[in-house]
Amino acid sequence: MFSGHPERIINLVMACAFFFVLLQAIKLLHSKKHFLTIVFFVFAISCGLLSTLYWGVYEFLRPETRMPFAANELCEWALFLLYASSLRAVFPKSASFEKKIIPVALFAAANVVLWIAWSGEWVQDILTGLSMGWFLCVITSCLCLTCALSTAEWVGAGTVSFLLILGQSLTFFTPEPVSGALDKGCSTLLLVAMLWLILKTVWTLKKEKQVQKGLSLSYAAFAWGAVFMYMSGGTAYMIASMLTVSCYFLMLWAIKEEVAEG
Amino acid sequence: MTIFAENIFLCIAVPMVVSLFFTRGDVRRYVAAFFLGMGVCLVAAYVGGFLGMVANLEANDTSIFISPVVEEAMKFLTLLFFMVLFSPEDQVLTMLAVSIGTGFATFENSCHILTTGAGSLPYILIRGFSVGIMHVASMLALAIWLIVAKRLKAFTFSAVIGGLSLAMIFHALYNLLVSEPGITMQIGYLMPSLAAALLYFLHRKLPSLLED
Repeated sequence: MFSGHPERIINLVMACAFFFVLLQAIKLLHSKKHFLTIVFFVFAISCGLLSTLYWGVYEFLRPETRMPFAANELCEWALFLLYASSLRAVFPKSASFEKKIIPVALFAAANVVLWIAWSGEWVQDILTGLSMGWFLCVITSCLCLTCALSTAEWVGAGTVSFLLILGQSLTFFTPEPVSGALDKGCSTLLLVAMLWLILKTVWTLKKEKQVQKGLSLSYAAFAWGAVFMYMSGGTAYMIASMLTVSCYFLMLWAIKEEVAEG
Repeated sequence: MTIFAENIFLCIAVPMVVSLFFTRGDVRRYVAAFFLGMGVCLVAAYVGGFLGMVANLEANDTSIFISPVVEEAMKFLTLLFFMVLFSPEDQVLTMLAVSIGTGFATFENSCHILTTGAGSLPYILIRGFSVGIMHVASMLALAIWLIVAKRLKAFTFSAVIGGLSLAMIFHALYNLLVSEPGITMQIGYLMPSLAAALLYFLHRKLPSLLED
């Protein structure tokens, strides 16, 4: 059932993780603190769980067959919007405009162009980009509000994002050995940034005990995981999936801490 | 076998429309929403069929990929129309949602039975307990979500899309599971009943959860 199909194992792990996080989040509803945040989070996780199950069942019933129309894509759009809403429920001032949102929106737009170039699915990719772009803008605003990143870290994040878009764009115009190396370079960059975000979130929540900062960082780690997944294939995709799974636990942890703090 | 869905719709709808003149209050609302649910089913079949044809999909693929999206969107729009225009009480909104879902399921099952025949009682029961309940469960879930969003003053675009997408993926997962014989089909048939049981408890617990 699973031999030769690592993606099935990943789907199963993701579904189990979603289920566990969902149960834990439902338990938090009884506390009545940050109720709206938890409600949006529960709905987002439910979307993720059902979308993962849909993919898993499809892979099982029709292996190696391309979906003519992915019904679960709407769930992914909803997932980004619901996560953004859950974060905005904690930081109502996140609607205020920050200058840093402009490059973030450009990064999201560049991602959409790359997805379209890879898949050719205009409508789905633009809609995914819009919901993800909104999510990224909300996260950026929250990161600014909580002063989660220093100026040097913002510059670093901008440089990495620029290098990623440049590297992935060049793969279209370069011959095979070079484009393969560029792709690997981009995956490494994505992986390093992802690990750094996860470690920073853990450090902020455990050592610094700054819950709101940790909360916005955990959402940022998840968003970066989504970028990593959409930009990768094969082994890199699997690593990205597993790291993104760990982000669900980080987000749950941060929300739990926020609820405990009241 | 070719069926004429509009004729079947007219046959079932006429007595219902006439009954609206002799009923009042919740009964009239229930019958009207039931009638609307059947109408939504008819229109959704046209739209789904058209989109399937445009996308060059076979009937089975249309039911797996297109129908869940179209059907749930149309049922949801009907409920949203009621909610935005009449701002009904929570109890009335739930009743309208269940009624639209029941009307939808009844008309779909009627057309399906006319196409495939009603000779096998076990199959008819399975159909009733799976598809029949699935439409009711998805609408009940949407109604609960709308009530929660309204009460928490979080009736936003994200909330609407979130609720709708959950209903769509639930429906799509059911259609995918029952598309192939075997264990997946059996799981698929059980899914709506389990969801309905869960929603029953959630619906009962909702007032205490939304207190304060």
